[in-house]
Amino acid sequence: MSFSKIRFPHPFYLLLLTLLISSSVHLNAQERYKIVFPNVNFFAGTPLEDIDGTSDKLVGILDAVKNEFAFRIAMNSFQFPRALMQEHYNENYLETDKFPNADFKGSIDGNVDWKTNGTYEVVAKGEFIVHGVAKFYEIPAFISIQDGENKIKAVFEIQLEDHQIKRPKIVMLKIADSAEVTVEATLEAF
Amino acid sequence: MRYLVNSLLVLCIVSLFSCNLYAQDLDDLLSDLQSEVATSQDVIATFKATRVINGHSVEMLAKGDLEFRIAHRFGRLNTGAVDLWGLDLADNRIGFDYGITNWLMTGIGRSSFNNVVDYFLKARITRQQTQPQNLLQHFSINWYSNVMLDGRPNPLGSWTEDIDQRFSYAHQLIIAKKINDRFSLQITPTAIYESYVPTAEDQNLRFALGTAGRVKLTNRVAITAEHFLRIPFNGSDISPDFQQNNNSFSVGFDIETGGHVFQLHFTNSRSMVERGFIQQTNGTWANNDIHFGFNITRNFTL
Repeated sequence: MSFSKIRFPHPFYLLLLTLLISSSVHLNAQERYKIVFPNVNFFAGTPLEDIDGTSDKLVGILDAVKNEFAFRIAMNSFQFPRALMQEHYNENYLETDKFPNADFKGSIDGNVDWKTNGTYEVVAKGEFIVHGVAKFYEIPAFISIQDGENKIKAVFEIQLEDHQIKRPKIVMLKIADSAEVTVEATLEAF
Repeated sequence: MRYLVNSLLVLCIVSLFSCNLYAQDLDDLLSDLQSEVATSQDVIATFKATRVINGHSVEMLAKGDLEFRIAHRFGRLNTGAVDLWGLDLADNRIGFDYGITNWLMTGIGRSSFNNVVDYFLKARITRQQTQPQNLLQHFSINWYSNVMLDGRPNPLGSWTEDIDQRFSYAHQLIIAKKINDRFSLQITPTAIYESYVPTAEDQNLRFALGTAGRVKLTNRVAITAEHFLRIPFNGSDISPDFQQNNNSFSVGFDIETGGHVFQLHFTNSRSMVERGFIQQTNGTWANNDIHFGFNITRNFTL
């Protein structure tokens, strides 16, 4: 029997097969989590002025199988204690009309046993796009699992210069070089 | 053999597609999630300051904000070198504005022009939304009312004898739209009531239509312009006060640095309160009756 005599299945059946395989991957969908009840805060103040903004408009998904994540936040959703501060943040510094979202996408380093209670230290690695400027970040984060309730927390620094967020010299004493960002959220399977 | 090649080809194409689908999925998913949590926001910073140049803008002070405001107009450019193109002469208005709530602000000021003391209230009716659901949400609309007291001495008697003739009132509906992050427009239908007018033919109650705009050059610098068209009474107003005065027109720059806004401008009006710059502008741009001026504000959060 020559090689050419072997009958391969018709491409149509192969197509069906691949569709079946890919749908079985989707059966793992419960291993995907989405962000709920987020709280994002940043502080860029100095002893002269408290500059801090808070938002609850973070969205994101975390794929526990592929260890991948994607987060996005509407930058104009940050609320400030002073209206003028909020206006300057939107108009002058983050230019939120031009750059409406900040995106953070990448992979997660570290083992998380999603079925066992505990706190797991992981590192989120990926491109963080703020003010339209992408930079690679490695952000340590904690995922805590307590009776099916999963929470994530991370604290990290952003250098304003890295994202071309410009401060005029006249306000340099009031606005810090870097912003400390705190993210807390619940991860809900979906 | 043909089957093998075909099969592999199909496999390749399908796997390519499924990869792409996943990446596509992620962005779509984020957008979907985002539209779930998104809420329409108030459009902010239609103008840099609570005044365009002379007239009020649709901007308000936030609750608890106190603003110290100095407005200054030099003399006319056409006075020439003798008066250093107007710099020897000056009119000013010094005032304080205060945000009672986020939708109501008030202010008091005193002008050197006719020794006028003015008091105003400005209230926000509606605000332009980032995701408008109806026609109203495409615009920011404020109501503005003020009262102006002419404080000049009475040559014939005491200051209070003619008190009933000293008051004027202005009411405005301020309608503005931030068309994009650089360009904003405003129209300001205005009614002004003057207790005292020079002649019997002059109307006490007169109307005007203000138009204003700003173009942002950079995040901190903008060009502004403002015009007040006086509406003639009965179509052709021949009353002396109307004929002797002109429509107010001003152009300027807004420069913002942190808590300050500097407004530098050229205008044919001397006064900085509504009765003055709308009804008592006797200079014209054509004659170079142009005043250089500035507004400086300092914002304090109480």
